[in-house]
Amino acid sequence: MSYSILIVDDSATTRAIIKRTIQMCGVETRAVLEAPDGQKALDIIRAHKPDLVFMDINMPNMNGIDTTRAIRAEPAIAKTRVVIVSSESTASRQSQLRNEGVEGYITKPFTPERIRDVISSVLGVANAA
Amino acid sequence: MLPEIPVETPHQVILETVSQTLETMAFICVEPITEAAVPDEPLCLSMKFDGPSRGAVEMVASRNLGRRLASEVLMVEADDPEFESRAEDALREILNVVVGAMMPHLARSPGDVFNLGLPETADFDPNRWSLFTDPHKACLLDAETQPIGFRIAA
Repeated sequence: MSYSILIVDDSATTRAIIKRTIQMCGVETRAVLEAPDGQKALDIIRAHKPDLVFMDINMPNMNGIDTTRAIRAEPAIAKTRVVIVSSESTASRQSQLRNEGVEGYITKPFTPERIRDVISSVLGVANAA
Repeated sequence: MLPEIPVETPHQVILETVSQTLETMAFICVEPITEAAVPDEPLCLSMKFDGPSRGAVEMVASRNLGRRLASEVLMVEADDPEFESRAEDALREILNVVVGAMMPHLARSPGDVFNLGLPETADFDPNRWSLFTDPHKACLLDAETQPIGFRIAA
């Protein structure tokens, strides 16, 4: 089975690192898509229905929290699996996001192993390595 | 009001965060230093935070460090029209990660939430380097001959 994954982050650097990690960890992908903010991410999610979204919080135009709420409020895309990837590491922020229904939380700086483990658990990919 | 925290705490957080970030991104080793010459083509990046305490974290680094990251991490060629903007983006992301890692240490209770601004970039006046790196306020690191300075500003 191949997956479509969307990376939402205003930093091209972080998008490149996550993309490279996905390609290295053995998950078969039919597309690895990118968006620099929440507004563009919503357009891509509606058009492509990705299997998993890696979502930054602190972005221009529409931040990751508002974007996740918009996803959950739109029935056609409400079940999109969202994993937050953010430098914000306070316990209160992570608790707030769990209440928004995200599937996981990765704190920057992250290791490739952390990205791989989250892909494995969220997508149920047994052979991610 | 600036947070009242031991100087050692944010410096240790900065060292650990920058070390992990640069080692993961580009296998660049980072060490604490006490003094350094002003970086070549210095850039000043700042990022505001607002919550139980407010201020900004400032970072001064050489554009050459960003160029190295753009080249080695993003695989952007030096003659690419986006090379310089990608180099700045890499430096902005280092600051973003450092600020995020510092916030739990600036919180006064577990329920505290900080609102973070976006990293902003400006040229840095080399004549301000000695003031910026005042050892009582700044954290100075060496990333394989490239000095990086951090401090919390009002």
